[in-house]
Amino acid sequence: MTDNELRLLMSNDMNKGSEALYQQYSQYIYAIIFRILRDCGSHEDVEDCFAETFAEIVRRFENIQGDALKSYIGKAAQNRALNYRTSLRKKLKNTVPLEMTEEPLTENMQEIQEKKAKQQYLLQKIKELEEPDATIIIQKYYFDRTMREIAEMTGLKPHTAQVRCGRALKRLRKEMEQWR
Amino acid sequence: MKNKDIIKLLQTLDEETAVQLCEDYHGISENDHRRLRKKVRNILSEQDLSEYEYLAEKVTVKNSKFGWISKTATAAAYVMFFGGLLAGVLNMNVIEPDETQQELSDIPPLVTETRYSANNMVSSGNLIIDVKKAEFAEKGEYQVTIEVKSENAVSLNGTRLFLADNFMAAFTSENGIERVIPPCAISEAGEHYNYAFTLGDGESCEIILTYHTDETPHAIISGYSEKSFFIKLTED
Repeated sequence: MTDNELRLLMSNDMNKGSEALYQQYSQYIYAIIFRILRDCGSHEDVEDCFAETFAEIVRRFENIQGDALKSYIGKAAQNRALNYRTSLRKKLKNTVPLEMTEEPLTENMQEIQEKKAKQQYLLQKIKELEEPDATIIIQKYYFDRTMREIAEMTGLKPHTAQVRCGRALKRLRKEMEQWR
Repeated sequence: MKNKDIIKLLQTLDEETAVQLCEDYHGISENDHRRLRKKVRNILSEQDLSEYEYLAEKVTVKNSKFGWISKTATAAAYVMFFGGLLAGVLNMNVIEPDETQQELSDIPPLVTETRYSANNMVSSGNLIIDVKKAEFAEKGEYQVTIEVKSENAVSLNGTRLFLADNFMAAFTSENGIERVIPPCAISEAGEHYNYAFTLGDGESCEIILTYHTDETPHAIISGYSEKSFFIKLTED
């Protein structure tokens, strides 16, 4: 659905429009928020922040001008998550950095480029894993899900998922040896 | 490279890659979706409440076609009623054949001619709900026609307001509620009310609740939450 179609649907029927908006942008919003809150908040924090962000977008939808709907939504999610991060930091009084930086300041451009190359290579190798191993690795180490949750998602027994995870990680270690 | 280095690489992805990863590997699971939708709905309901003064005026004007809405009712009163509605716990009892209170799982299907008494939503008395009709109106639209009557019901300032989201339809699986959908609209005599209708003491109205679904309704529960009727759809 194009942004214009989405706008039309929202103006004609708020319920259908909201559902379409959710279908189209929920993963996008969630990804942005999860990335920002992952090291300082729980899954529940991520979900609360998502819900607040999405509800706010729905409420303000008719006032969103221009063609760049995705950019607006991305920015709204980012800002809300950064605010949430700040309040979590205050609440927890932990050492989470106040500002979310793209890269630690101690890294120079060369290190950043090298890290990105490593990441791309790693993601390629994960993709090349047999399924559901790739899913297990991503869900476990990126989305921080428990083996029970992963087992439910993949239809495996928790123990089987655990074993496959160990094997897949071992294979990735081998594939990544050249980057030592 | 050690495990912890691999994990660190994964956990420090840039935004673009993180978004792609989320889309490729279903960052939001089905369970997550259910929780997220519920949270969004709750927040939007609260926002409706906070903007209620505006909403109440809108409802009063639209509902004037019912013929039983007092044009002198004030927005402030509506706010108070709605607050009471949220605070109350709805107990839904089938009047016939059994007047005893029933647990959610024991409540029989909500089908045509079934009558429910919804007490505890009011200070005293009952709200009576008669199910008149439940059918597919057209593809993707399932309509439930109900009559809601206030039977000596006394609530704050004598008026009760219902939002569309008070009438949730629940589809169930063997393991419990699978999906809950709010009606897209409340309507009466062809007039759509996207948000709410009001009901005064001793008054009744027949409304149509429209649910967007292509599924064939196979089961119905009716139950209660703090602010919702649950309408479980069933085969005739």
